[in-house]
Amino acid sequence: MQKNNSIELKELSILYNDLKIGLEAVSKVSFDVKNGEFISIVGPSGCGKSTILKVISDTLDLSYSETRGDVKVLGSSPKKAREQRKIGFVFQKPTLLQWRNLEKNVSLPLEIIGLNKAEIKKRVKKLLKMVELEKYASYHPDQLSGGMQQKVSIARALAYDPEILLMDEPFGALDEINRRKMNDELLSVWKETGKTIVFVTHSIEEAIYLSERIIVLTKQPGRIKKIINVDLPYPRKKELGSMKFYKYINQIRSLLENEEEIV
Amino acid sequence: MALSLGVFFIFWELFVKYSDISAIVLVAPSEILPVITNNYDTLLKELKYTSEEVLYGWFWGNLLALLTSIVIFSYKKISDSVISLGVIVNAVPLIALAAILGGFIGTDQNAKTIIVAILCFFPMLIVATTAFKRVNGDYKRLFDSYNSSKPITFIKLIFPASLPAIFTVLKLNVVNAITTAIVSEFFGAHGGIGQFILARKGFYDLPMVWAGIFFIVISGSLFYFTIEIAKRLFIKWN
Repeated sequence: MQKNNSIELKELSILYNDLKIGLEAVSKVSFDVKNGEFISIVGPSGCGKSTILKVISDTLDLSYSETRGDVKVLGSSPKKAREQRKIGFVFQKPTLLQWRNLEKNVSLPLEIIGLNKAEIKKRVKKLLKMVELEKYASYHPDQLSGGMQQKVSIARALAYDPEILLMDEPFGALDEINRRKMNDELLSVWKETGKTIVFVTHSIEEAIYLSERIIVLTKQPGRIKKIINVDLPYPRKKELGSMKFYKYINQIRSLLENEEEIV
Repeated sequence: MALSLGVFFIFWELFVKYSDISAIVLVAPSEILPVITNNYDTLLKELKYTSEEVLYGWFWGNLLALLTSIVIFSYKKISDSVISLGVIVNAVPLIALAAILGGFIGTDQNAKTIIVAILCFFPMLIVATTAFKRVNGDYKRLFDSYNSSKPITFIKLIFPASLPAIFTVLKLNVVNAITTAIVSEFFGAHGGIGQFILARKGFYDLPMVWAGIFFIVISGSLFYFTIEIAKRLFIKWN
């Protein structure tokens, strides 16, 4: 199982047929994500990064779009993977339910699955402990900072123990210091749980800091420009100022800058 | 609030006393008060009559609208056309129908209740259906990723997320219901504050007219604030 691929994309194209324009959002993207791998997708805005996540999680609204190509999630279709609750999704905004306290927010997916109360309580306690928010269990989302809210949404995504975590610019709204903190906490969650993580971001530095591989997409329609192996040891705190780190930054930056020039 | 009301009444009293305003236009509070205390039972009886129209009409109008909007919401294909139709109906001053509806459904208390219910129905229908539809796409995707069934998504997400909008209409419909009840009583009724006001106006018994207005204003405000309190209990997060 260890060497299997969690996600396989073969020549995935996504077309928006909204307003009958027939806009191509993503064009013939192929890549694999290994089991337990941390992979990031970067690219100019509108290149279809988020849309790829929606296809993998089978949450794309197909009344406005159609997909071509082949997508396999854990060996079967995205729909099947979703129905078996193999995928956890973390959005750019925490998307917490304002009328539920933290505990109840984390327990939401477990209630929907229909777990018994004792088991829910046990799991929620463990998850809140993992993101260091057990003291705030009875707080409501609006009483917490954006970073804390996002941690709750990560805990919630992990609640039913999915094998894959899809994250769509989850720390995009945070300031630099909090973002760094959240990066470290995410890495420790990854280490602890061994989940496969696909992470969309527009921060080059964040992508290098977090991931084993980075997929660089072109501007719309998104094609694969390059897939980069990040050959830096974890934890990467010490690497932050290193030459190698800067080389990666420059490499990706120039890949993306070339993209902007074509416009 | 009590203070500003007090100032308002004192100002009103002094204004009537020291200006040349005719008693046909405005009556001083000091003249209205004894009328209220002397005719308390009569006023209360009329108020009860109208309040029943308002309460039942408001309740059934809102409830049926909510149930209808749930049905419309679950049939996505028809929801857009139903909403546009509802908007058009809502733009028509339905209250004008009160003048002719009497001919169809009679002038008794039940008929008034039906008119009140109709007037409450459309605002709630439009706002609730729209609120259900407007729940943020990411939240829906979240529930989809849990493979949540439609009824569960509705109960746990769509409905609670729409509660603020629903409560806003519940409050607006309080005013709506009272106005409708009073106006349709003007067009002919067997009882109620509206009919009472109209009859007393015919005798130029203006302090009595004002007493009637006072009663409906006070009870209307109580109803309104009850809903406001309920809203605050239900929607602590907003």
